[in-house]
Amino acid sequence: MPVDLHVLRFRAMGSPCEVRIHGGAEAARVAEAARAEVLRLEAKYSRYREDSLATRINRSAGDPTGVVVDRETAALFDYAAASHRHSDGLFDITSGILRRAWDFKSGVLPSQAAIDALLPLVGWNRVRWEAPRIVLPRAGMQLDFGGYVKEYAADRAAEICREHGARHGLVDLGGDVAVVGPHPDGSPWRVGIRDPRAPTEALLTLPLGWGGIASSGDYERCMVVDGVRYGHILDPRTGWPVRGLAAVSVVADHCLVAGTLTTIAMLKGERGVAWLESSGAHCLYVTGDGFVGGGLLEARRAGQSAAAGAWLRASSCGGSATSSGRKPAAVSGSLAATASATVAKAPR
Amino acid sequence: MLAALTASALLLPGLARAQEERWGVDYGFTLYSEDDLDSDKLQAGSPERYEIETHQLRMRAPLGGRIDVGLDLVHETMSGATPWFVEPDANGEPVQVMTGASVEDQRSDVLLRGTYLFDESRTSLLGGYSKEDDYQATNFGFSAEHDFNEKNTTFSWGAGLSLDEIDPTPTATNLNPSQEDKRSLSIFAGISQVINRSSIVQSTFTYQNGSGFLSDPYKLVSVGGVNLPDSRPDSRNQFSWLTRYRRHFSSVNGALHADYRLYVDDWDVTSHTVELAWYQMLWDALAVIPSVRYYTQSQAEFYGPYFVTSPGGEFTSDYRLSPYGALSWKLRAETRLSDWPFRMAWKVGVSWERYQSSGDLAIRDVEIENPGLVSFNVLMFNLSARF
Repeated sequence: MPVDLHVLRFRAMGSPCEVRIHGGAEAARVAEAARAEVLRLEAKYSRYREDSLATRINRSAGDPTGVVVDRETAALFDYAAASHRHSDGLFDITSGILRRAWDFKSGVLPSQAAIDALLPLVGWNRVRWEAPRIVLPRAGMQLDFGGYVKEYAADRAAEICREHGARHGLVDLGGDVAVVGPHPDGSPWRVGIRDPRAPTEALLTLPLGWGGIASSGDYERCMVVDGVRYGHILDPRTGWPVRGLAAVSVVADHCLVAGTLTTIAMLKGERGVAWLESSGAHCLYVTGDGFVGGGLLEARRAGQSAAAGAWLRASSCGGSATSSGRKPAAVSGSLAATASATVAKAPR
Repeated sequence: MLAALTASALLLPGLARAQEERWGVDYGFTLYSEDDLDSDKLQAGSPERYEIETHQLRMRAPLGGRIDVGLDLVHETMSGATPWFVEPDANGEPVQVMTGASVEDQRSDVLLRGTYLFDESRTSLLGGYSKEDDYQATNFGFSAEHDFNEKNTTFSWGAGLSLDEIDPTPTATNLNPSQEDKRSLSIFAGISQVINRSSIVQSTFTYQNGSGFLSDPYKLVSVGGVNLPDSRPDSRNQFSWLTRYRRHFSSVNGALHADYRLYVDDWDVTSHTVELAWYQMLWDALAVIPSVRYYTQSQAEFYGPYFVTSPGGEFTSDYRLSPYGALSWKLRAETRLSDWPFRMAWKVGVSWERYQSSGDLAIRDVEIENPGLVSFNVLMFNLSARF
């Protein structure tokens, strides 16, 4: 590892975070600026903070005059609205309230009545968003930026690094990664993807020289009741956990877009694989029964040789998913070798 | 889906520039080859017309987040004979006299451009120098673009100045040519408007003023049986208005490009150009682009294929100032290679164009067609990398 790599570790948005920047004394200043940006967004959009904008909006629920928001927030709402539309209502920033019914630590399933009581408060279509004013018409409704603001923060922090002149670096916010630029020698970063069945180990590492990667999985919070596994991904339409994919990772130009695609794919459940295949995204997935697939598997193999990687055809899920899909046992054989090369593990 | 979300993400503050801040290198090779002159139109000289090989290298680099610099290098090799003068044959039909031995010339061109990116506007300064055996040009330019209306409207304007020196090589009829100067100034203003999700229209008005030596030092004009040097006015005012329309059809993953250009100048030349192109995307990575272009122009007021009596001080028989029309077809294919895991994308393109001009193709009847009208093929290959 080059000696001039500056690493700043901190906690934000409920996750361990890392900013890695190549460069001399300047790198420390750049990394600090990136951290400041992440903390700014956390302070603005955390629903756990009394003084945040998110809290102010949520407190306004039931007030027909709503809240007038700034340009950045308006753009985030526009993005949420577009994602809601493109996912047929699956991507929904009002669905966080369903967690009130689901206590994953308790090991007890909620009653259908408890879920039914919350469903009328869920639905982006119930929100009145007329820029710059947002109105939550029903008391008790809540917006949760947690579904995408961490990914946006990774992109913003990487952009701040570039604005400060950094060209080689990476921002990792609890596994949501945005690349500032490849290593000074042009080689890509290696980003570890966690194995959903063994969360402390990397399923594999991916070379990433640009853009961002985001992952989503049901290993993060779940409970097993009567031998059935219930993940934390809740369908905003039914209020129940979605069953299907165990984990998804997507590479895209922006970490934000990658994160939205993983969220939607998880919510699609059994149909998530087919949907990912048609979305045109670079992806990797693990199905509920342990099948590993996605164009990124292919890409990783080619990416192990820099020259081959550079010439790699843009790998989308389409087509290659079936040819490269393998049982995880076959993957883990090669894992030991690649995992040691990991410099940026997804520490979620 | 990916594209739709990315488009939404790009509207977020600070994410827009992520895509643009890339290094770029483009290389292009063009082979331009004119058809031999028909033997029934050739009075004397070589029938082998011009062939030009062009190598072009463009480099673009972002410096910091706000500044972009670009360098364009061009090297051309030209060879072949060119139309010299037109004279009447025994029946009074105009026939072409070409230059004899093959002319061989080279041109090198360098252009440096710097762009400063403001949040909602861009300003560029450029300077260039071009050199041939007998010609050199120095040019400067300024241009700016401003976005309005949430980037749905873009206004652009700019100005350019070119100072040229012509130092003609001696010919059989002009043993001691004098060195001449030429100056051209151009200004343009245009607006582009996003109409909806899938269509955009752009309209640009350009004015150009040329002054100084605007004649062709290598052409003669037959006036009353005597060959006199090509002689044109020492100033020219040109106006052109170009309108372009782009429409994407998502159902077939293709796009229509339709352009119309109107041109008038104070030498009495009026021309119309219509171009239609269809961009068909196949499997996301390959684009096939067939296009067709029609052109028609009226003659300059002092043009004639040849003159029986002297028309006064200004005369030319250059086919480029004659009345004619032209039709060209072009087929282009472009493919994109690799974009992952490195932020590097390659694009490879090839194209072939066939151009034919004649008096019959003009919109108005042409009584006497200039025998020097040209037809040519253009083959092009280009490779570009972004990283």
